[in-house]
Amino acid sequence: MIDSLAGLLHGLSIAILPINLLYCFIGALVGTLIGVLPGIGPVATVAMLLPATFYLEPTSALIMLAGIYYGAQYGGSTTAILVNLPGENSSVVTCLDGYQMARQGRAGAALAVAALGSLFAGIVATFFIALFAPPLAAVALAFGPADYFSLMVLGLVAAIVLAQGSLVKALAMIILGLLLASVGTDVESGARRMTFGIPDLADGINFVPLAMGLFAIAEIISNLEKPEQRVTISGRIENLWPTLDDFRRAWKAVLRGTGIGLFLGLLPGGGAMLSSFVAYSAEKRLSKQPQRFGRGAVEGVAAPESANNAGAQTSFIPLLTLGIPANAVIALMAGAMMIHGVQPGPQVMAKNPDLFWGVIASMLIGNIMLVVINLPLIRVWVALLKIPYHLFYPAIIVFCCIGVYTLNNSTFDVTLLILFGFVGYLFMKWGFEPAPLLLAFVLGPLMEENLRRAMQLSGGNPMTFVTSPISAVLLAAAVALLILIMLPSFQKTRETAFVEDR
Amino acid sequence: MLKQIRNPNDVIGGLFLIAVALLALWLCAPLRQGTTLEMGPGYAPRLLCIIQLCFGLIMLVQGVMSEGPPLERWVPRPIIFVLASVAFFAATLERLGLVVAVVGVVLISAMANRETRALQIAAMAAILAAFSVGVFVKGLSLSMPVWPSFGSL
Repeated sequence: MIDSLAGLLHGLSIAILPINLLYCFIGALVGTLIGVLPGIGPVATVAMLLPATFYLEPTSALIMLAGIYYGAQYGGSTTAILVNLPGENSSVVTCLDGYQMARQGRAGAALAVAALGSLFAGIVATFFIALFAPPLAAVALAFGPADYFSLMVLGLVAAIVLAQGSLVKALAMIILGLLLASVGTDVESGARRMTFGIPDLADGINFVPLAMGLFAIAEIISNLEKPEQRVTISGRIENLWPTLDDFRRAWKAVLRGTGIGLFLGLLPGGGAMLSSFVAYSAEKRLSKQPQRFGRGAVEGVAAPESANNAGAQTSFIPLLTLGIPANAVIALMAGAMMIHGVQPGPQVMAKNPDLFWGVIASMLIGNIMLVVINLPLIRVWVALLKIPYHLFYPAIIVFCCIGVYTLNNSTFDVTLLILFGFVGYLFMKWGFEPAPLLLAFVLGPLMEENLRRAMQLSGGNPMTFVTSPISAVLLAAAVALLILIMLPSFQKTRETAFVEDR
Repeated sequence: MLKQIRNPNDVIGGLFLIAVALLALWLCAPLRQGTTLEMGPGYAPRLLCIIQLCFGLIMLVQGVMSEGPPLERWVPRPIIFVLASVAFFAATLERLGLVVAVVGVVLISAMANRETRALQIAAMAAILAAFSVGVFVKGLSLSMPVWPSFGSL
């Protein structure tokens, strides 16, 4: 407790360095921007900005990337409320009541509730991380190779429980990600694996063109297939202050939404999107007047917006303490840490305390900045919303190309971008989710290393995964989850959790 | 279970997985397998290929045995022009420089939709080229040629 506070204070002393304040601000600003603009999400943006962060201190880089992720949650609500389009997936449910409020001339109140709810959730989530990350990291330090391997198996399985779509497809994506990760030089024997004899593949497939291709390029192609949506902004924003009645109704929803987000963010595969869905349906179920939902209930804005911000932040906990990325954005940050020579995991707190506490404390500052960026400047964002998609997608392509090229000054990597862009498009058409692939790709090398070490330690006996108590519990949990997903009743709730209320 | 299966999509997806797994198995053929105790470079990839083959077959069978929505239609225009613009960047950057590459990307990718006007394309190309040179080459001092290098042509 005291340690956490001391750590947080130390972190604050780092986060308020002018350079870190600057990158925190840039992150929050870019996050809001992409949150507002439908058609570009945090995964693509973080992938695009990764190369630019190589020239920064790792702490500044992660502060900025984190700001993009939780900043996007703020921006997403603006589009949802004003235009009835989710700027981000995590704002899908905010459209329901937010847009109705806007049509009733209460857009300002809805925006303010969303921003203040997010601020509250963000602050609580920061303290939550500071309190719970250190003990979790301490537990993880006791893990042996077999335990680590099983933990990663559990992480990957849990990630797909919460994903949409078919189970077999999600599992296949995990295996494909692991397989792609094994391309390149084998660390132990030095043998080249599946490189087609191409020297550029000796270091393996770079995860930046992979992520950009699957997410950014594929997304652009599929967005361009559909006729462009014309943006019509509903209602004028006159009064930014919610009424007393709004406050009275919203505060409990904010509390509940924050609580839901805190815990769902921790789960692999969780994070912002799932949190907002669950918070909305919980609020609707608990309400004494559920019929108000969908007609401009302020709780229907407050709960999901608090939840998605809390969830976005707590999804950093598994990364910083266990080294396991919870979703695709966090997987990219894991990659960013590795490029800077910081191995994500329980040792980060001890070895890189500046980075660990600096990033956590920057979330406090970032959330305050975001309220300032979002509320008074709301008219600027509204003006940006009027930029049609066909005027900004070429810029995304240009930045992707430059970003991928400058990683290694390699045109080969740009060629990979074409390949993965096309594959990502195919995946969309066939109903494959690319997120599990990316998670598995990041974890792949670690899994193989731990598998080998576990086998060497146990003398080649695979029973070690079951006889080590920690590993056995983790594997049992993974199996239990898989069985749970296959139960017909769970299948139904899983489907409705995502489809309901759309 | 049956309800969420999309028939032709699953068949093609399954075939795709099987094809990738077979290709990877073939590529792994020269790699030493090793034993469980001392795993060679080929151990993990082969294991993964076999698991993926199984998943591919399951999907194939599911796809054949169940009903599902039809395949989604492909729209060739954005696929061709978006990917071609990236290819243009890869082909030209090192010889013709950043300005030509960026202008090319904008011109080609703008053809992926029918809405952009000529004047807008020209403005985007000019702004993005200037921005890229200013931020990436001058600002972040990344090493990229800006103009064509006629010496090597």
